[in-house]
Amino acid sequence: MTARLVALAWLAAGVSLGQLQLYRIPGPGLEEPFKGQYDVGLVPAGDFRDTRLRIRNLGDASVTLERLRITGVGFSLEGHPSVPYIVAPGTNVDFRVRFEPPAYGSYSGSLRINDAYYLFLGSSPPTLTVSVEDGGSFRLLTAGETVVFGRAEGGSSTYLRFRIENPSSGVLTARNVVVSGGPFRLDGAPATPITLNPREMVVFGIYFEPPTAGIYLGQLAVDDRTFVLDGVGLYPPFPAPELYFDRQTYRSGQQGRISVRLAGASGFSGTGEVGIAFQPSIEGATDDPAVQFLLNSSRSVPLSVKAGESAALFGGNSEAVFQTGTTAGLIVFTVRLGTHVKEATVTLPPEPVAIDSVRHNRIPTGIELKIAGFDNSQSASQVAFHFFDVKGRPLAPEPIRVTVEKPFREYFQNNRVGGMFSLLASFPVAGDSSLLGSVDVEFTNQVGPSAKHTIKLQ
Amino acid sequence: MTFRLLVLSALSSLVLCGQPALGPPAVGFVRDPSGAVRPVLGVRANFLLGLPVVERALSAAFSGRAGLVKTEAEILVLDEAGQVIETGPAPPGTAEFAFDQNGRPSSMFFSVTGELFARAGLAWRRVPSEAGPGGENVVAVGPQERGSVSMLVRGGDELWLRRLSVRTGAVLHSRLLPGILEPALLLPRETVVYAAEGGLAIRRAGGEETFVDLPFQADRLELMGDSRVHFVAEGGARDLLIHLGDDGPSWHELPGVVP
Repeated sequence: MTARLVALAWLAAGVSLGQLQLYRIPGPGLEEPFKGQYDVGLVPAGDFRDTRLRIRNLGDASVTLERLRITGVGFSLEGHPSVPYIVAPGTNVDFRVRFEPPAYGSYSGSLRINDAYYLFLGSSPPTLTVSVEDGGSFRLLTAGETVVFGRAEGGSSTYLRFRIENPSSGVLTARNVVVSGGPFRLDGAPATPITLNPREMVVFGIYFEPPTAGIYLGQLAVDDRTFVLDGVGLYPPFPAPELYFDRQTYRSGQQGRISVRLAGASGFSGTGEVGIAFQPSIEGATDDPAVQFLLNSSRSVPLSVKAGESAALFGGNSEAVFQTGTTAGLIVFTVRLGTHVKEATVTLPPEPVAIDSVRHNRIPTGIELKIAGFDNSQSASQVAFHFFDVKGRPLAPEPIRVTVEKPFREYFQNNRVGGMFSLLASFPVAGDSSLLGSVDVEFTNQVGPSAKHTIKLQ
Repeated sequence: MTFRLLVLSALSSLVLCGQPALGPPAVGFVRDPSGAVRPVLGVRANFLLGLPVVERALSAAFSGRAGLVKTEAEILVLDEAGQVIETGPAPPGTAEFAFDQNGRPSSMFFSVTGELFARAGLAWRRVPSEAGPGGENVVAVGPQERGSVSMLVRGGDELWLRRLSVRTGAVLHSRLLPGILEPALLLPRETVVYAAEGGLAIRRAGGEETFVDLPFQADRLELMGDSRVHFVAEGGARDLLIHLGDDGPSWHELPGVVP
């Protein structure tokens, strides 16, 4: 422990600087004549406190500042001019005396300005010190100091060791040791409170694990003192992705498969996504909910890339299955990976009505037909039924044609399921319906007639 | 002989025989990984999953005309639209279901208690317990046909088709089904649908078999609609619709549900 120096009487009284006057600046816009000595107060070891001072030339002539220095362990000057320095009449010279005790104890410093001396006193209470390992040894940290973790490349991490030590002769306790902010993670710190006997220490680590490229700041707090943690994440760009489809062209009512391959093997692992946007080309149609990826029934699927691989995976599969829906339009696929954004478009042209199935049901009064299909232009205007007997002879020279424009238009407006539909048609029969052999069903929309769908009624 | 065919003007009306003339096409119902029973709308390779009609189902089957669902404590009978029309108490655990050729509920088997029930009108009649498989695993149950109920029963490494009298529970007929793997479904006329190596197989009573190449191995098979099977693979991550059409089976992927 450093013994406290006895103040000399002439120091306590202050020594005149001649026409130079020394002031202490306790705050903005304030100044007090310096009275010869000043007690900086209690400052924990490893921290510092500055005292702002001002020399003013009160005379009419310039004065040369020939000596400006401070002696004493823990004391230094900051922001001071080099000497010799000419102080013009009426001007000020501002500087700071810094008290930065290296350990707990009492300290004194002597400030000399030309031939005048001023006493500074300071104390450091017993407190835990915080150090960081640097080049094989531990370096004491001051409060607010920045600890640089350096660069961590693509998915890797950097690691630094820290030490909390009790340099005093008494038992000291750290109530909190907290790492916060940024991708910094405490590793191996004992549970708080941490009680340390004299000269005892604990060592722990902090990982810097950046998830993406960027500059990251975090904070280590040991009780009331904080230290800034600084790291940089470096992610070299992914190789450019490309979208691949299992077909050259698509139509409505299909399922397709998409894969994503990179221009080369990726240098590291990461994630991205493929999204779908649908633009109907049909007037009045706003969307088709069936245009989606089947993996998760949504318009986007996450993908992952492994280091060393060039093929992206969708939930472990090399392809993602999607539906083209039942509405004419454009499907825009967008793959996003790192900074890459790549698009591909699938065009679904308007087509005649597609009949998926026709089922029949004989009822006491006749026959019912249930027709499932889709009209991707949502413009069905007519449906024709041509019945044949069991010998294949048409029952009428012409099919039964029914105008369906209005009911279909209302159905598509009120049911947002794209162009798919189920139509129930009922045909009363007068006579022996068992003679009914088959029926051809054909729709017409703005694109033209559909393919005939024949169903046997036996 | 001539006859006349008349066309109703009902095509221009919104209601026909109590049903809308035009509507979204219904494919069936599936049970998702959370146990929610959802309607499937769609045609061909274009499907949409609807909102759940039943939650926390342990077992489910649909014929296109009706549905049977087992929750922890109840048996539910649903109509074609997925509306619950009948409920009844049930023991815990899963159940196996079967429908007749017209898609009406026909029989059910409770896995934990080993009880077999046959539909009689609108009621369920328990088939006498001495008909039980005697500690063997019941893999699937078939519909009632000619006063009897068929069951697929595993005994050791072998799978047997057993036919029991609905009235007495006596075993009327039993035959070994070589090569049948689980999971499996028993359809009318002793048609077995089962998960084969590399796909799905449909074996008819006469032994004729049709194979569907699939890229997945089935974890579960459930009837989801008229001639449609819900094929669940990869622990629920892949759902397929297998259509047992008259022209031959076909399949498409179904939208998945992220829990």
